[in-house]
Amino acid sequence: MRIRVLSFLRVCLAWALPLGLACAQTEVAERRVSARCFNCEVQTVIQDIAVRHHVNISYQPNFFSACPRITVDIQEEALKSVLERLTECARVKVEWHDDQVVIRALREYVVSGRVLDVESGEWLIGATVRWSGSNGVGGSTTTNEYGFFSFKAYEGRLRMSAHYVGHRPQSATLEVQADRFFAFRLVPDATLPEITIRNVPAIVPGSAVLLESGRRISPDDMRQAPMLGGEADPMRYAALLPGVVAGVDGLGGLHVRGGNADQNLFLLDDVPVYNPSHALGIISIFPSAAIHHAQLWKGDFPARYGGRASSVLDVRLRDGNPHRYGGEVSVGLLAASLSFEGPFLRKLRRSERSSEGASMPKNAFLVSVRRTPLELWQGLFRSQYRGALFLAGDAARYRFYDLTIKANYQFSERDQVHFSLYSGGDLFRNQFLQTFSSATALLNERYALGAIWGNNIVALRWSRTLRSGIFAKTILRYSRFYYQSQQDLLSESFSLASAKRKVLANYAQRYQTFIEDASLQTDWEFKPLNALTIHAGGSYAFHTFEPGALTVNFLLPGQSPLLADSLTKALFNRERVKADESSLYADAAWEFSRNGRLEAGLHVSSFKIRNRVFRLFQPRLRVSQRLLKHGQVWAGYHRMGQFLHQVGTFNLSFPFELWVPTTPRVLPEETWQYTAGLGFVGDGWSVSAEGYYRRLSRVLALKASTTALLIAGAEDASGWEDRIIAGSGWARGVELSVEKRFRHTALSATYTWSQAIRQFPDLNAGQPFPFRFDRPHVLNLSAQQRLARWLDMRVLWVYASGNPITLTALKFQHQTHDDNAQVREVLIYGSVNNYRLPNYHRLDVSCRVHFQTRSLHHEILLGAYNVYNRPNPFFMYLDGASVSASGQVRAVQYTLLPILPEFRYSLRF
Amino acid sequence: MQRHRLCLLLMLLFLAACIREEYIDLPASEKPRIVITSHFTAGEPLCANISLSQPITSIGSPQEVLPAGDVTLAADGIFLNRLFPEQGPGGRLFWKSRALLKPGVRYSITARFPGYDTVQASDTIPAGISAVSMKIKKDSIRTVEDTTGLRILRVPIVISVNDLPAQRRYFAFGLQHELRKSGPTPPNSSETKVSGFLANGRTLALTYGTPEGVFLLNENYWNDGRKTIELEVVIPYRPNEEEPTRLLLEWRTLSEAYYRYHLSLATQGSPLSDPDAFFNNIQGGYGNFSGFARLRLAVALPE
Repeated sequence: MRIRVLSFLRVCLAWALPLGLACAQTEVAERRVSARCFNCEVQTVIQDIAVRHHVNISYQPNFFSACPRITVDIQEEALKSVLERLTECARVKVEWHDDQVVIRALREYVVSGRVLDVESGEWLIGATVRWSGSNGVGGSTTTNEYGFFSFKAYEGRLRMSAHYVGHRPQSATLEVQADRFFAFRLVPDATLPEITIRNVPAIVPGSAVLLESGRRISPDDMRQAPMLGGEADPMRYAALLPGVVAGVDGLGGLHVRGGNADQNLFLLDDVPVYNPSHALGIISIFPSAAIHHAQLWKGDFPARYGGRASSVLDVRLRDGNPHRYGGEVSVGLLAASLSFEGPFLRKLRRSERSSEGASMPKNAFLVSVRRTPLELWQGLFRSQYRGALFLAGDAARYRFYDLTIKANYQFSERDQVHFSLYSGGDLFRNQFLQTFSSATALLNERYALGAIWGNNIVALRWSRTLRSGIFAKTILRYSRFYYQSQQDLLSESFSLASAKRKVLANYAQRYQTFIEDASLQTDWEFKPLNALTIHAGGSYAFHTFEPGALTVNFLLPGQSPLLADSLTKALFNRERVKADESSLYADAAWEFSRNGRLEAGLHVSSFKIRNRVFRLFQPRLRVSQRLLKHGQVWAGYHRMGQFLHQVGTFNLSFPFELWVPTTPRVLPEETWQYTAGLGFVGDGWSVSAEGYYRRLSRVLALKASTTALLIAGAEDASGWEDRIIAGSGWARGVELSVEKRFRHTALSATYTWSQAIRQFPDLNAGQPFPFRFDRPHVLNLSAQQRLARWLDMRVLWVYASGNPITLTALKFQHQTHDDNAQVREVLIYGSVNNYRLPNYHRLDVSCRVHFQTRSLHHEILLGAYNVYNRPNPFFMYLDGASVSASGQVRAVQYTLLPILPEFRYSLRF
Repeated sequence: MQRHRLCLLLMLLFLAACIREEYIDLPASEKPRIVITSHFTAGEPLCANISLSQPITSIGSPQEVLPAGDVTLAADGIFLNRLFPEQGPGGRLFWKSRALLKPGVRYSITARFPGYDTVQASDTIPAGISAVSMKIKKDSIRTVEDTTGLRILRVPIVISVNDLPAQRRYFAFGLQHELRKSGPTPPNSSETKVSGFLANGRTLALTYGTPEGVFLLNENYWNDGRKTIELEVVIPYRPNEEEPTRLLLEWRTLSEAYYRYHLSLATQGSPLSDPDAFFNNIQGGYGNFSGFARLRLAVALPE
């Protein structure tokens, strides 16, 4: 009984005590207080109330240091409402404990998350996330390349909204009492304006997001632009941007702001690609159906990028749709492709989809295959028109292929693993058979040549969002580029009288070169302050080079195979070079004011080879400031360098040109770039101008000679360190861009004035000369018109100054008195690149028809490349033997790309 | 049939657009200038070929300047000789000095011909290196014979350069072999022929043939600290008629003007590579006036 009474009392006490406390709190909170003060500090008023009304209020005076002076006249009001009003100006929270009032600072928590497209499941990159807290504090941020965002918010109720072009904004309210993670799922908006200019600088009037460096290229941009063969291609699209020049009529690589083709870093899902194009540069290796977006930096790249001295083209592939299966079939003149995507763990997907509020887990795959249908064309031409140009030969074959596989698995809302695989290559084969007959013998000659080259890339990437709002990704990657060629010549005679066979010549050559990387990279992104975003990380790469192995087997005329005296040993160069490259970097983007932004970073890298270590310190700096209502100015200083070099006789970034490492005799290349610009963006229009000055040091070239070993399709690497010459260069230019959008029409114009110079002590008598791809004037005009809901039309006119080449009009004869001396004709080349080829221009027109039947989306692209068939010069040589009636020298000019049809049919399902 | 017509049309368009002849204005053409080509060495008189530059469209030999001009030679700035014209090999006209040349002296040639700009050039015969030796690897000599009776002797040799200077490593070498004739006429006479050679890829890549019959060595050849050149000399002969007896090496130490001139010529003539600007050390004209030091070695071939 006694026990029961005690238990009863204990229960009563347990209930009564909190109630009593609550009553006490309520009593204090509701206590009527008065205060009167003219132009006082907030803490003075609070102190006065505490003293006069005997309330224990604890706080730190510096909580209110940012508050303005106030004038109050409070008459018998509840203490709670009085304190709430007085503390509005400070980031504090009022807590009530018994008869004690505690004013403490608001706690900050990290709110992070991702923004994705609800239909495709793809992360939305560059989406704007805005937030505002209950204390009135707010801000905005953008998502990174993984759709990730994070910011710090004070505890309490938080309103957030996400915005992205082409999608309906989504809002959400969160009660923040701890670190939170949230995924926005934006719905595509079909009611948007029919033509969207995506390439205007990404600044929205009134937005707090300042213009960042780098130009983003979306798949729609590429699809809508007239492209060779109708094939959407980020590289060819990038070549239309100001400051970027393609090689000779698209052949070869890109030359950005006077840089060499090997100074561009091509990334495919974070993995470096050494040979980014097929067909010697006609089309890039990046599968258009699988591209999420690409981004180009023309030298002003952030410190997290390194390894090249001129530009970065970062191509990101889509992750695949985690909700449903789908794909695309596309047939064009240059390539036919098939892509298929979907979830690969459907059961798991269903169970997780039902959980509201959590981020949407993504488990998806994407497979894309592409192959050229050129063989069909070749077969057609070969059968009917044997002997035409490059199709000459009896068995000419060329093809390329790409295979891309990507899969991702999300372990939790914060952990995700991506696997990427790319394998692609080119194959060329040809064979010539000739038979000559005489009365006594038959002569057979068989000449076969072939080459294969390509890239293999594998990457495993783990990304994790830590509770502290840090986004970390770690990538294990492998990249290999290889090139192999072969030539065989067999010449033999058959005597009709003796029926004997005699080998007259037997020649075989095998050549190979490759570069291989295995690397590990980790990258951490975090925000210590909302106005400060920091990227930090490092990487290690193990490189293996085989600059070129040439094997030759040569039978002398009349030799029998038994007496084969091979040059294999003499000409065999199987040199393999191994090197370690490591780098550390950190870059910070600081919005130092509402209208100003500072990006600063440092990339430090080292390269170890043959027990020698080379280091590069690459500071990067960029300041941007909003100007007036619609404008912005920016300036930057960037220093870039690279330890890997591609050199060759052509310097066109052809696949057989050699990738070689930095060595004690071949030092790293470096580039310094200064930029400044301004831009204005209004409603439907944009104008921007940017100037740059760039210095290049230790630019490399291979000094070849006509007697050095150079065989078609092979670049003998013997003694490569001794044949490389190093020089310097500089480039400067101004890039202008104007874009205007109407309801159904979009117009754009870009103009670049530039100058690029090279200087080598061992070339041109040490005097400066124009860079081979120096084009002083480049003008691109583009118009896009929506003719109907299902029909778009686009016109593009490209104009550029001609490339400089080395020509001469004079010669003399070299003759000396020596007995063994021969007479030789010497051409008097006064200086290198002293003549300019005719100007380049062409007009491209394309029409895009798109319609939907049930769940199938059809798209047909029809057009023409180089509509008026301008014979743009690819190569020119002088025909010294003939002269025109007017006395002019006759030159023979080769043109690579005449008028060509464009066609592509795509079916998305 | 219609498909074929379409293909034919496309093909014609393609062909029409791919190759095109065009008349162009080259950098302003100039009137002919005097050309001097002369390589000179110690102990010999100076011989200079003097001709005129030509438009690239002209065919045939250059028009030679008639001996109406005045060509003089100075040594270290002091008049030495007036050159006289003399017919040389192939009936070509050479301007020759009476004085024999010496190393270390700066020779200057001046040519004045009516109607043309006066031209002048200077250069010095460098001090030649002397510690050059040639060794035959007798154990590695091979012979290969084809079905026509031609025998090919392959003779591995090592050329050692022991007093290699630290800088200005400008050298060229020429190889010849001597064949003793065993045929009927004339009995036991001998003939000297230029020898071909094989080498490893690095050596071949850094070796350039010149119209002088010698091979120019890129100065970078010595970058890796080596002091030797390993070659395999190829000597074809008909064993019934001739027999190789000696291997002859001519080693030239070149002046910089000689070296740079021939190096710039090495990039000419290939459509695959960009030509370098031609190295010219003739003021007011074109050509090359340069000295070299010559060293000759002979090694008997094993029987």
